Amino acid sequence: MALGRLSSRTLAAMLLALFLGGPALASEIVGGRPARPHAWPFMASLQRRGGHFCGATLIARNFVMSAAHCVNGLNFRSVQVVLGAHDLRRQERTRQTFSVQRIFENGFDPSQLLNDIVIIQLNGSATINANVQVAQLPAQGQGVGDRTPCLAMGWGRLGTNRPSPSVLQELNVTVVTNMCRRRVNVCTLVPRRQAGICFGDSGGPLVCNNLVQGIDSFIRGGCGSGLYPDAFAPVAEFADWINSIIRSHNDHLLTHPKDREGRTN
Amino acid sequence: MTPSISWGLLLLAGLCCLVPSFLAEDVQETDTSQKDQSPASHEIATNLGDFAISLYRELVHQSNTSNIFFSPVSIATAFAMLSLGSKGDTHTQILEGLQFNLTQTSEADIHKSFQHLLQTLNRPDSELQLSTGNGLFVNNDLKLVEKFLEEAKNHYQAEVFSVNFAESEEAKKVINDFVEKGTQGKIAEAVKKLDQDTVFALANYILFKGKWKKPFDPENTEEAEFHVDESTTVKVPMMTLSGMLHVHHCSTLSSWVLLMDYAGNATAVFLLPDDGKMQHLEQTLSKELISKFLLNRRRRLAQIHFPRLSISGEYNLKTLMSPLGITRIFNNGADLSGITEENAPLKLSQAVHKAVLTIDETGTEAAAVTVLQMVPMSMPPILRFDHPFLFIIFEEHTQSPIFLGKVVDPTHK
Repeated sequence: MALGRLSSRTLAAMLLALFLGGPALASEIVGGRPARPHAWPFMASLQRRGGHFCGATLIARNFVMSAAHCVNGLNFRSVQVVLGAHDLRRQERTRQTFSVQRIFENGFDPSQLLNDIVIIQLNGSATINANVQVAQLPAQGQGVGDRTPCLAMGWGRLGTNRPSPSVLQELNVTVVTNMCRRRVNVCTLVPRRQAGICFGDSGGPLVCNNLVQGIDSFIRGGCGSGLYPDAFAPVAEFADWINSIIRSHNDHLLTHPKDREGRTN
Repeated sequence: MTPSISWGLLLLAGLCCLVPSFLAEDVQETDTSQKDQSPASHEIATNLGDFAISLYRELVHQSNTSNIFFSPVSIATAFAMLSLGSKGDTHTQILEGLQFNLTQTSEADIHKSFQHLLQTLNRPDSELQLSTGNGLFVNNDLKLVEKFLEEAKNHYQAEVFSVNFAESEEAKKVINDFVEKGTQGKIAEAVKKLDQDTVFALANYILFKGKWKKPFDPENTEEAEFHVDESTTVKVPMMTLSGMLHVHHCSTLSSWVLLMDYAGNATAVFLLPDDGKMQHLEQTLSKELISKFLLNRRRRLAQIHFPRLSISGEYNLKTLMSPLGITRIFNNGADLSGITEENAPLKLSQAVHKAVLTIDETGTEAAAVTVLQMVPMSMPPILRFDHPFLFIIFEEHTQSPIFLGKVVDPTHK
């Protein structure tokens, strides 16, 4: 999440909040905010050598969804998928970590960032619990409408040239269809503030009405520019494809119950 | 009586030898002109690449703890021009020192290629902010060969000055004024002292302050540490740029490679060695590898931290070129009979090369357009140019190395 420069009004609001004894970083007053631990149990972190580089979404017990550009040109065997995480700098007993068995793309164009979606098959199945759950996806073609409020989340940088947070951040954003330069993307803006997604947020979910409608993809003009919307891959346009992959590769797994148990961390 | 007769005979013999040479050169040049009306600068780019790296290695050998910065194109141009007026060993040494093989490239083609290259670099309409010049300063009692003057001006855009070297301060002023004027005041005192017996001097300068096609944002520049060596750090203004950049890691060089385009068809190749790998980089570097980088570009998401700097190099060309085998032109055995009419014993007494480069945030007016480039939001690799690195700046059309440098301490001007 990128935080904009504080306006005097925002500063006044913060001071007022402090004076009243409430939390300094109140909702919708300053850009992103730390999420409550495991508030979004489908949220995943993609890592290499222990370093987070992209977000992802758990869409089935053995599949996560992310941005295709996150794994483009990468040896996917070097990638680890971490579920049940909140503070990336601490040891957390809630975590489940997997390797990547296979990746599926759908006509990804890296130069134009078109079809920026990847389905990652894990080398085992996640154990579903309070901290790890599967996200709900929209039906095919049932995208999100203009001005819909949504929530973006991730462990990405707090600004173009600022460091990454340790705990998961979340941010209220609004869909802005008319300001989108390409109709193939879902686009969002934070009204009247400089906030949005940033480096490391790619691949993470955009949640609208409890459905994952977008995958963090790209920005223009710098993180949290306040002028140019953030762009997401439109999950609803890929829903049937996603479901067909899950179905066709879940069946194979179910026929080997011992193997399935052996793969679980 | 007898000694006088001997001298006369020797003089006559010399004159006889000159006549066929002149005629031969004229014939060759005419033939070549008819065959090839559009010489390709690419013919010399390969040689200039070899020359650049040879010279660089010589400079590293002299000192591996100093900034290095020179213009291979500028220096080669100066000596190629001098080859127009030299003969015998003096002539041979120059062309071989510049890595030219006359069995592969004719001399006429070499000079045409340099002409084309200089025209490209100095085009008035070019966005390349490059100022370069060659000045020849000859004692006022020497009469210059008209042919040499004509060729030096036509092919090499050289300016020739008649000066009174007996008046040392006045002569020095003429040389320094030439360089200062050509560099818009950036290089004020190219020559600090003239040798007592100077009768012929060369001043060669090049100044560059380019505009990036994809600029840095000055608002992101902040002070940071640059590690000169294990125990020395200096504070520098560090610029920052994120986006889709031409970046990759070369395992052969053990270095990150960053390509940055300037407006006006120039490209800078920055080579950032992994820790402890500078010597490996310097030993492994080759023009073939760099050509490969220039040809196989691929954008990827990256963030770079790069020091704002102004770097200059000032070299005594006698000291610089001797290790490459160019020695005779500087000593009493020099044959520069193509430059002066009398058989006066002429040698290049003083030759100075001065190069200045500024690297800052500046972009072109159209730079704002690049801010609308789509930037994917995965976590980028970060290249921190906070320890010594190399760079080469190329003119794109000819792939000629305009500059070659090593930044050890960016606070040294």
